[in-house]
Amino acid sequence: MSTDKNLKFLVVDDFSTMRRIIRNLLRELGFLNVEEAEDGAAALRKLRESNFDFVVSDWNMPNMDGLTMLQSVRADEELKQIPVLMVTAEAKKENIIAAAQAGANGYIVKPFTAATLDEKLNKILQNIAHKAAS
Amino acid sequence: MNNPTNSRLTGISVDDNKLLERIGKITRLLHNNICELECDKDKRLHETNKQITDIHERLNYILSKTQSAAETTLSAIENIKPIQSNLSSNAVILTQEWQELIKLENDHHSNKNLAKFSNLFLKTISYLEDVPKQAEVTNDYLLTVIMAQDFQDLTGQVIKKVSHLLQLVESELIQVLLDNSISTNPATNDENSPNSLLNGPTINPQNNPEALSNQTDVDNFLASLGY
Repeated sequence: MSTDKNLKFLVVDDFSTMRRIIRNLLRELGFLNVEEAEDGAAALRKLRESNFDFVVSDWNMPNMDGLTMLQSVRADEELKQIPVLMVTAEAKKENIIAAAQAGANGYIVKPFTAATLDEKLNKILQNIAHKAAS
Repeated sequence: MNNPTNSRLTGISVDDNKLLERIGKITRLLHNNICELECDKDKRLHETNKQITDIHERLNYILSKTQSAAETTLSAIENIKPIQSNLSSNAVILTQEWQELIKLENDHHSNKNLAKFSNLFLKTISYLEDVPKQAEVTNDYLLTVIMAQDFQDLTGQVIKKVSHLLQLVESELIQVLLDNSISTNPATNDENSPNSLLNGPTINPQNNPEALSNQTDVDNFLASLGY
């Protein structure tokens, strides 16, 4: 099954280098429609301003962290369907439980490889396609 | 106790003089010691303060060095990637055209093919001429990537220095606490760190049973939870 390469991504991370790395990895996977936000608050603003299909977010960020952003997305009628993939250095069990409970669609622990991002992304997109079909 | 042989209340005997002199000496000694202790404490705190400022500056240096190295590397690679894709896709196109033309010629020889051959020949020569130029540009960028790694040497030294300074600051602070008889039991000051959800990267996974060290562990843990 081929995925829609026009999907619009929002990459949320406070470090510009990490945003750039993820943007490059997404380009490598064929996704060219990518925007960036430097923290959870900026991400929520962008998500409310225009339509995004996918969010890839860090956890530990100033102003608003990724978990709070995820909770806000899930609590928002307009946004709650958007898949959110957490990419974070936080690797404690309670972090993973908290993210899963908040409704994260996937959890990648840093440092990560291009193959991991590809695998998680496809898994999430397939799950969504599967749900939409059934 | 000195035993004054002269018990008169008025007038001062030789023994009394000696006693007063000794008390005076002790008082001065005590006073000097207290002063020195205070001065020493101030000096130590001042020293600690200076060291912490120093650590702050050094960490900022590491931050800027590593960030600029990462940015230089990413820029170089972003410039290389389209060059490499072009080289590759142009080679694929030329190969296909050659294969088609050779097949055409094999099927039936014609003068029209000759013109095509000559055209494709020129295209191929131009491509071959272009390859070393593109490779040279790529090589320059690769050299930039190599040079950008020089931060490791510099930041490595700074990190060692910071680590050493932190040890000094720790021992200075502990000494100040001990001098002022404040308990240094760390258990009292530790309650908010282990439960926090914002810990950053796991530096030492073996000592941290609650932290998962790789993606496979994370995936297995999520699967065990039914996700």
